[in-house]
Amino acid sequence: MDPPPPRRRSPRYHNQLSNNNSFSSPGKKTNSSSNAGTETKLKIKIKRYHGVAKWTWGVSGFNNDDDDDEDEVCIVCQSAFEGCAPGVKYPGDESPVVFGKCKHAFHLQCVSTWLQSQNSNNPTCPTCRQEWEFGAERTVVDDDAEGEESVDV
Amino acid sequence: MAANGRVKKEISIICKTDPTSGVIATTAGDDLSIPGKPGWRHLIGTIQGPSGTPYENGVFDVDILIDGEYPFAPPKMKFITKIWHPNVSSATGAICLDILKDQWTPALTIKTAMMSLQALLCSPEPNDPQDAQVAKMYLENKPEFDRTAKFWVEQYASPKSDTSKEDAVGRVCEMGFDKESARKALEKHKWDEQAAVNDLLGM
Ligand SMILES: [Zn+2]
Ligand SMILES: [Zn+2]
Repeated sequence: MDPPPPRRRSPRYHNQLSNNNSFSSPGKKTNSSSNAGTETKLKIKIKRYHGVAKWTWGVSGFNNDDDDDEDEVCIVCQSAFEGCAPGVKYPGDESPVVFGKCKHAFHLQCVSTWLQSQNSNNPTCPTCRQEWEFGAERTVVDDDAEGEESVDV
Repeated sequence: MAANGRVKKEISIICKTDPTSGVIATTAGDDLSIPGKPGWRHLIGTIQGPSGTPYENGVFDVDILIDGEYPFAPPKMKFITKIWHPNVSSATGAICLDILKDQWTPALTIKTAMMSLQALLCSPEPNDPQDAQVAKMYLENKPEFDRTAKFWVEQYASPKSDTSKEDAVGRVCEMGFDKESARKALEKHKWDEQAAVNDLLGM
């Protein structure tokens, strides 16, 4: 598997964001998650919904570090891996989690901003300061990440 | 993109009393934010001088500026309280500490940075000095260094008792200032009478 190149927000994300912004048209397939709080922030009225899938990034148990709770949080932005990196509206595919060879995990956006901000040819991992290399992603996803769709608005 | 949620979270943690850490911060001024600088935050940290060091019983205020680059760039920190330490400028309070410079990583926090400052008070690094004069004394005449550091703690970093504060207000009033402005100036200058008087004189 090719490691994802370091980057800020690629144009792909912008496209996805602006597509999702036309949220109001009925019948349009949109992102959802089991967390209803995400929807209330968008100020839309949900009349009914079908929960079709629950997903997590397969992060816990992969990090060697002791504390289980901390495994669930991206140390850079200190929000949950299942949540969004700063500047990203939707969790999931838009806010992927990546691993270094050192097995430390971060939101792609978070670690990319850090790698670029170091202005170095050998940028380092935020957690262990080893030279950063993207490792195998190994994101174990319950069901299919694509399956989290179809909200009746 | 600044991790604004993270900064908020961190500020709520660092502003809470934690008797085990010996570090705490308060937000500077009424408003946390800085006009014209979206995402910036200004805090005043307080560090207890570690026991078993010349800084024991001292209370040191640290100016903390969180700029728009945080947490991808370190918080900007400097001592407000004057301190005699090889890695802190005795004139400006500027700090030489690797994690506040090239060794910063976003895994560190405002709180861990302040705890590193406290650790720096325990173990000065005179071979990588911020203040060459202080470092020289530390290396060549440790007893004199300890005496000087202690003297600076008594002079600048000791929380004043209420009666000694009243005495100071009285002395400044005797120089022709009213009680209210004398107290304000003294508080602003951490009860340094000379600095307060200079301020009142507009110097
Ligand atoms: Zn993150
Ligand atoms: Zn690492």
